[in-house]
Order: sequence, then structure tokens, then C-alpha cells
Amino acid sequence: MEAIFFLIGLGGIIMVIHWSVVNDRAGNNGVTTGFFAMREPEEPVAKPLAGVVAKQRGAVAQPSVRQRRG
Amino acid sequence: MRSLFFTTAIFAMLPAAFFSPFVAVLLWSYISFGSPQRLTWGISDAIPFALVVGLTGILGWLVVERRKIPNDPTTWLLGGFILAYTIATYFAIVPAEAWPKWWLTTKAMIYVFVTAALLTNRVRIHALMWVMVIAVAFYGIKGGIFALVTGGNYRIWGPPQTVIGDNNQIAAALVVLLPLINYLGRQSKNELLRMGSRVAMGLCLLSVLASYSRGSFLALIAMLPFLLQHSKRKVISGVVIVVALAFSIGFMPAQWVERIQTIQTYQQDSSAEGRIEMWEAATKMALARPLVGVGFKGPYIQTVMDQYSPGTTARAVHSIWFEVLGENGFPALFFWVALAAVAIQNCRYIIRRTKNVPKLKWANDLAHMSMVGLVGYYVGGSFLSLSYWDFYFTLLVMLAATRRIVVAELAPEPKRLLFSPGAARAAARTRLSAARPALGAGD
Repeated sequence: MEAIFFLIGLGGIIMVIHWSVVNDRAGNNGVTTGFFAMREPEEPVAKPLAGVVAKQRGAVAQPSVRQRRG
Repeated sequence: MRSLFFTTAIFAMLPAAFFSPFVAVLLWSYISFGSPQRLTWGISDAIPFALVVGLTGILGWLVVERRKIPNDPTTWLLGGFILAYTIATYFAIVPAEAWPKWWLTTKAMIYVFVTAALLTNRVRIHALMWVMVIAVAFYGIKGGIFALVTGGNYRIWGPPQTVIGDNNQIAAALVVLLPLINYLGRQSKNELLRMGSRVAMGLCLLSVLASYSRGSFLALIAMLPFLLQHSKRKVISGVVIVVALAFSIGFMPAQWVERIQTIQTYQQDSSAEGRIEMWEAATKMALARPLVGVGFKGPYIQTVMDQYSPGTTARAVHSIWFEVLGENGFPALFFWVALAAVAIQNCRYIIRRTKNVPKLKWANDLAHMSMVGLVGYYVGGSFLSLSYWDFYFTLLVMLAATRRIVVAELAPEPKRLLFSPGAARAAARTRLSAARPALGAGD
């Protein structure tokens, strides 16, 4: 049992070393990839206002109305 | 077999350690904190792995990636601490015992400086944290499973012949590790790692209890309010912590409960009384030789003990504070305490400055969890000898490096560079070189 844990630990260290070498260029702001990839900050998603949504829907609907008239 | 795998892996990574010296820092940290070579037999017995990796890394640092040791309070205080204990060792009462420990401590300190120089970005900080956690959590996970299988009836011990070999020391190390594992879990994108970190934390917690260390149990209790304070979802975290602790304590046998209950009746307990006796002896030593103490290993030598505290049996001081004081005197203790203060200050600074900065969330988490770990170390360490633990000093330089990154990231756009003559010339050169191909293309 101890031997298995030992090998898992050693394997983990090798993977971390590989990860750090591959992602070293990501620096402080780049996106990291791979098994040990770090969570990136979530982009704040701005909620559109209700009126804006209604306007956008109307704008989408307008061309089809024009097309029918034409 | 283990020996073959370990030796092959280390030697296969030596070229990488030379051309990318931070690899050497990671390897050194693994060997130094986890002592994996102590778990192997055969060909690896005769090979000084730490020396081989250490020298390769230093060579790579000097030749390939020459970076300066950062000029910050942590490194200056570390330098002061080394100077103080070196002078104390020179005046040690039993130099033959003091110098070997001086060398053991100093070679670890040298690598703390190399680590400080090469910790230049968050990827390196994160990778080093992984190595530190894997190296020590190995014993926690193994011990936790052992405790589960044996019903907590046997004590957990650390790797033999190392600074965390004693049951109290491995327990204190695991107490420090718990919040650091939490940081890695929080910051990992991989769901498997997030789940794994929770399991590892549970097993390490069980390991701490199964060490039967009362000091570490106190450290665990002292850490909880800080853990809750630094938690986002306080109610959920509180419930999870209380349930996990209650389950773990409920799992432990009656003999464990009896041992922990002796905390309340420490006056009747020879072990607890012995600790207080040793703290008094260390204080007497420091008062008799305030500038240099009795030297490394002095409190372990009966002739030294008889000189300053007759009637006391020579042994470990069992306190990080009194150990430094008795062995190396007040100047060394001053630097040691100042280092601790700077570490706490670094944590507070990082937490304050990165509170609402999404891109520095990792630094905020790191500072929060390190703060909890430091509290665990200071409380748990008050009852055991672990003053010169290089894991702790590495955590300090890691916090200093994180602070540097935070300062750089939050610095306003370099407007002043535009007005500096050198930068203006460089910008003009860049513009000119960018314009040239366009001119040529037009011809």
C-alpha cells in the first residue's frame, strides 16, 4: 500500500513539474492549461435592462415586417 | 523497486533542473519537505539527492536564469536570522553538537533564498504549493487511512530522521497543511482535484487526531475561527467543519479522549509539566547568555542543562519560541518574531488589496489560507520544537513573492514611463521599426 502511495506521490510531483514548465509563460495573467490548471477569474456578465431587451426584439422583428410589406 | 523509480526520476530531471532552475527548486522542496528518500532502500541509500539537486539548481540559477534575490523585509530578516544564529553557533557551549545542526539549517536556508529569487509568477507559486502539499500530505493521507483501518488505536508518526518525524511534529505540519490543501482545491479547475483535495483534507484531519498530539489539537481548535473568518460561505463552512470534526472525534477511541482531556489537568500530567519546566530552563539559558544562548542542541545536553537549570532532564524544548530563545539568544528570537510579524502583515496586505480584484482572486485565497496555516503553526508550534522548519520559511518567501506580484499587478499603468527619456526613445525605436516594413512594401 505504501509503495503505491509513494509512486502516486512521485508521479504527482513529476506532473506538477511538467505543468509548471509548460505553463511558465502564462505568467500572472495568462490562462493556464493542463491537469493542474488554475481557475480563471469569471468575467462579469452585465445584465441587459428590460427595456433594452424589448427594443432589441423589436429591432429583430422590424425587417421581417418590412419584407412582408414589400 | 521504489528506489529504482525514485533514483531514475530524479536523475532524469536533472538536465531540466539545470536549464530551468525552478525545476530544481520544486525537486529540492519535494526532497526536503517530504524526505521521500527515507522511504526507499537499495541504490538510493548512498546518493545525496538533496545535494545533487541543490547544486544543479544553484548552477542553473547562476548560469541560465540569473535572477536577483528580492530586496524585501522577509529576505533581509531571514539574512539577519541566519547571521544571529551563526554568531550564536560560533559561541556555542558544545560546538561539536552545534555546527552539524547549523549546517543542516543553513543549507535549507540557502535554498529558501534560491526559492525567493525564482518565485517570479503565480504559476511558479501555485506549482510550489502543490509540491509542498504533495510532499507532506503523503504522510497525512497514509496516516488517515491507517487510522481508519485501525480505529485510531495507534499513533501516527512522521518520516524517520526528519524534522517532522515525531508524532507532534507531523501533526503540526498537517495542521499547517490543511488550509493550504483547501487553497489548492479552491483554485483548481479540475473537478477531480477539487474532490481529491476535500478527501485529502479529511484524511489529514484524521491523521492529526490520530497522532495523539494535544498541542496540534489545540492548534486545530485555534485555527477554526480564522478558517471561518476567511470563508466566503460562513454558515455552510461552519457546519461542514463542525460535522467533520465531530465525526473524526467520535471515531477516535476512548484512550484518545482520555489523552486529550489531560489538557485540562496539565498540572498533573508529567509530559505537560515537563514542557513548562523546559521553557523555564530555556529562559534561564537565554538570560545567562542573552546575546548567543547556549547554541544549537544545547538544551539536549545534560552537562549544559546542569549548568543553567540543575535538576532538569536535558531534552527538546518543545516550543518554537523558547527553542530559538534558549539555543540562539534574544537577537535570533527578535528576527524570528519579526519574520512572523512580516508574514502576517503580508497576508493582511494581500487580503486587503485584492478583495475585489477578480484577476487576483488566487492571491486573496492564498493569503487567507496561509494566514490560517500560520495561526496553526504558531499555536501548535508553541508546544513542540519546529523552529527551523524550512517548509515554514518557504511559505514566508511565498507570501512575500505574492505580495510583490500583487503590488506589480495593481500598480497604475506606467504613465511615467512615457515621460522618461529612456522609455520615450525605446517607444520611438519600436514605432520606427514597425513603420519600416510598411515603407519598404510601398516601394
